[in-house]
Amino acid sequence: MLSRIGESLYWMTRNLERADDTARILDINVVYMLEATEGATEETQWQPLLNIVGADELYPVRYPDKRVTVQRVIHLLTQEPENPGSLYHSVRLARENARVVRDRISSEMWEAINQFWLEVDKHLKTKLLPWRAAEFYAYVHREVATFFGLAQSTMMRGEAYGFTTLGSLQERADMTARILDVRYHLLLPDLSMVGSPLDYYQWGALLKSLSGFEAYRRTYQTGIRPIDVVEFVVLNPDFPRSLAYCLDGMERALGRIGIVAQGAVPEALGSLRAQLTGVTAKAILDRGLHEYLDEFLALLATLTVALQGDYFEAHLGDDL
Amino acid sequence: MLRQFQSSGAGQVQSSTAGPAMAYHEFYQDDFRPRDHYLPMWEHIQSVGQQMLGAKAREAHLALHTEGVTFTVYSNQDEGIERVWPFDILPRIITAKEWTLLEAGLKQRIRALNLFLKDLYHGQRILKDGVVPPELIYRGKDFRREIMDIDPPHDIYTHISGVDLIRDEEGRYLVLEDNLRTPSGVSYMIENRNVERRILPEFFARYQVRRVEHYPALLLQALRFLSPRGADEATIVVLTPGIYNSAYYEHTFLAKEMGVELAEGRDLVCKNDKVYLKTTRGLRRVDVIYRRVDDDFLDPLVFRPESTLGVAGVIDAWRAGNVALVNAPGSGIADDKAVYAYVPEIIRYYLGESAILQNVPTYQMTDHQDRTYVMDNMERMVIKAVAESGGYGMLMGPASTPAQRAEFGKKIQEDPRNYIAQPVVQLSRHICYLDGELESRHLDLRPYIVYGDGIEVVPGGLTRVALTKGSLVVNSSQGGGSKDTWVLAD
Amino acid sequence: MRYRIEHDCRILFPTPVREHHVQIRLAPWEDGEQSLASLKLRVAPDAVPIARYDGFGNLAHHFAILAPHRELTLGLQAEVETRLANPFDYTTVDPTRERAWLADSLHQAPRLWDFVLHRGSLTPGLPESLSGRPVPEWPKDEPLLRHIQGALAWIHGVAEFDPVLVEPVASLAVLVETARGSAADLSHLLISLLRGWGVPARFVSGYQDAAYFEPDDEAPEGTPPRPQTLHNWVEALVPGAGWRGFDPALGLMADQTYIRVAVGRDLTDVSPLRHASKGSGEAPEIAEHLCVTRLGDSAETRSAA
Repeated sequence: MLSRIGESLYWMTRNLERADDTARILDINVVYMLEATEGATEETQWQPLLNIVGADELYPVRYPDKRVTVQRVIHLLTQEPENPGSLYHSVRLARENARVVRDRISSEMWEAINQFWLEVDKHLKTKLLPWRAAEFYAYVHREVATFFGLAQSTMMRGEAYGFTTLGSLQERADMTARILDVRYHLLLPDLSMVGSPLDYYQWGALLKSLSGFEAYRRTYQTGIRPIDVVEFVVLNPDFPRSLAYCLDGMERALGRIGIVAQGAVPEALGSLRAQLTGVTAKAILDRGLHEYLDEFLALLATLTVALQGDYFEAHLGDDL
Repeated sequence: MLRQFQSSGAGQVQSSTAGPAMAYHEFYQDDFRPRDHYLPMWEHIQSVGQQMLGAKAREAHLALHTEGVTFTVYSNQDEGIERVWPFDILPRIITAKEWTLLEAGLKQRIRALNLFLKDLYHGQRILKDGVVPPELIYRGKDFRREIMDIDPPHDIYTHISGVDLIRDEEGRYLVLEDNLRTPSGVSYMIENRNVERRILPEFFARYQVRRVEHYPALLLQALRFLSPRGADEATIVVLTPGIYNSAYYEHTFLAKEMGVELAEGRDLVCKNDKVYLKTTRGLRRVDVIYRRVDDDFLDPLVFRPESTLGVAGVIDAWRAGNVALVNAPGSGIADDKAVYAYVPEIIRYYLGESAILQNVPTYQMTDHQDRTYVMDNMERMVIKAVAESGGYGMLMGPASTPAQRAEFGKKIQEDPRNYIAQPVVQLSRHICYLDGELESRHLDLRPYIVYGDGIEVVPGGLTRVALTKGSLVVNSSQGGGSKDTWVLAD
Repeated sequence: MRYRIEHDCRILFPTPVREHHVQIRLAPWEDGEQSLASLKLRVAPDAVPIARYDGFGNLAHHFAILAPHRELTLGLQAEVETRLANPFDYTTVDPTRERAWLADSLHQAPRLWDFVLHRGSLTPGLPESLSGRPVPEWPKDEPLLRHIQGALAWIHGVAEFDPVLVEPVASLAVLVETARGSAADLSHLLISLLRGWGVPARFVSGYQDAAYFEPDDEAPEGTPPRPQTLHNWVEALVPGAGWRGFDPALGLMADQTYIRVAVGRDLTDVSPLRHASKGSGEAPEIAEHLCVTRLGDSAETRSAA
């Protein structure tokens, strides 16, 4: 397969997944903002989002008074032209990549993503207001789900499918780790603290940001305990947004693509696997969740570089 | 000097074009009965009833739409508009006897033009012998000094040619243009046939129609033949300028049909005079590039330096014999509209034969007498810029305004080498099914010639129809349509 | 004359580039009047330059560096021997026969037509006069050489040679307006004139003896020599002699102190450096250093003298 095609397939779904995840954390926060009132300021509720999507440095540049408001965060993360990681840009990039690989994906997939982009573009021409945001984010979830559904039901299981699933799962793992890191950090500054009612809502919001609230409740009947949340989100192989689930899928995807024996990918993948092997939630918490997740994110970044070298710029390694 | 009709002075041509003769009709005889070879089809339509054509036409449009057979029209927007390929369901039928003549004439022409190109880029015998004026070559925009003395594999320059033919008032086939660079339209020839066969099998039942769908196989065979590492080891790619090109559909079509990669310039890289494809498994050596990128953009080291569509170093790799380029760079000089006028002499010079297919009479604007005559008779002329195609840079005399004529007059005076003129030839007509009626429209024919291990003319071609009543412009970019083209087996 | 040429070139990009393809025309040309004793090319990062002849018969080299890099250096070291001691030393053709001699040459070698017929933005057709000075003609039955020399004087009147112009080439209009031009500008003007006469004329790039870069007599004591650069001049097909070099910048005929590198229709055909790379698209900084050293008179020239 042409490197350019492989790379476009990978970034097509990575961007689409990012758009979906961004919509999800915003969505949950909007809802949460309506429910929770006790002691929380607009700032403490919305600042974490900026940290999760890595827009915390851009924010003061865009808004020099640094005042964090719901309106501003929604705007920045959804449609701000200056923010290369905004939902708008993610969808645009996803569609641009899809256009490059139009011949390699099914026509249904192309039509779905093209239509999606045209709608998003039209919609975000005007400012998205907070009370209309939930509706828009729901639309994004539906369209992304449709696209991934079509990919699963219409694509041949080969190299192209491998890059397609790899992109979405890697982005998902990345986002899961970030959400957990930022939220946990804020919720539990002191490990000995016992959960209060407020915490219940906040922990609920965390799980909802990962579409895992109901699944968690079914798995653990004891209420929301931080250690269980960590186990669920990091190690549960059946929860589709957990790190373990994502890594399983990434390994399968790379199996379809074909591992380059002398390449950097096997090692990067091995390090990720080692990070999840033989650990318990307790061990992770004892060592420090933040450090643990930081390492995991760094390993994901290493994998991205390795993919570049092994597949997308494979030619640079060829000795001529 | 007026090329082609050398014995006739300008005055004589003038008198013969005083009143336009009736265009030849492909379908009707002079007594308004269908010609013999159209009778089986006509009888079928009569027996079923003409209204069946309406349903068939809708079916055809739907089929083309669903399959995404489109072409792109460019106006002022940066992104073109994609349109469904316009198709008329009534086929154009060519008898075996006519085809025998066409085939011989096209083969002769392509053989001679390849010898001409080889000569121009090597010894230039034809210039020494004064058959073609050096000015025509050295002032031609598409003569490429950069490829002087390079030997393309098997001395073939134009592996794929599409020659535009028209029929004059007497029904004689004339060559209007040789397209020797990157002629397009062949995918539509095949799609037309696919659709026609699907929606009107009953027509096919009454004829023995020669097949055209094997064109991609024929092309692949010719491309393999050129591989420097031998046919068995050949890695072949179609090089496209990308998704914004108006013929992108055709590029994807041909790559898919041949089962080869569709590459853009950035997918290829040269090193040590070899060309490689960047794949997820590393570099893969490329042997043959069927390029649909114009010479100007092919190699920024040799041609336009700012081009990003091409492959830096590809000309050096070609010179070294490590890759075949199809068609060869520099072929454009042989289909230059001013050189065109000399093709009958070129055929005589290299083959010692007289041309089987005639040219449309052509006035050279570099010739003082010709130019004066054309300037005085612009409303009766088609004036063409020599290095343009697709119906661009053209003045249709009878339909022009005085202002347009004045503008062209000025351009000709400024750069006479850049223009030629031809008397308006009434292209032949054919019936078309348009909005529920049978109407006559003008059309032309572009057969495709593949030159690999021998020259092959695909029995058929692209028939383009001027859908606007009375119009003589058949280009799809300017509102043209198309027909399936049948060559009969006997 | 024997010369050593040391030509170094450094290309520095603001951000790394990759797939960097380079084509150079820097090596001296070889023919009866000039021969190449040795040629060495060094490239860093490492690459193997491949030699080939272009459509005009110029020796060009090309190589590629695919891996990312910011800096590329290349060094050429050549030793060359030039033999044209006296450009006037040839059997002249009777002036009444000169046009026929040219016509016959064009007939024998149609490729020469390129140097007569080519018109471009750098070598346009000339009007009847420039800056109020009538454009010279070549009258019938008069010796071509004398009129080319007259043309050199005429060009000197239209525009003066300015060795330190920032823009390497200007249009004819700018040249006439500023009355100053680079060696390439003046060469293009002479070419336009000669082609108007129907005389094959081609653009030359090459090296010169270091003496040409010394300060002239009027310069104050201690003025350093100008930095050496590639020079440009013109070759015209002179009846009886073949190609002869004319330097409109210095008003000289080229002799053994001129070392030819490449010829073409105009400057663009002889580009000493053409390269294409992938990166941010920012223009690189190019630094050059040229040193031509005279190694002494060759045995052949000494005996001729």
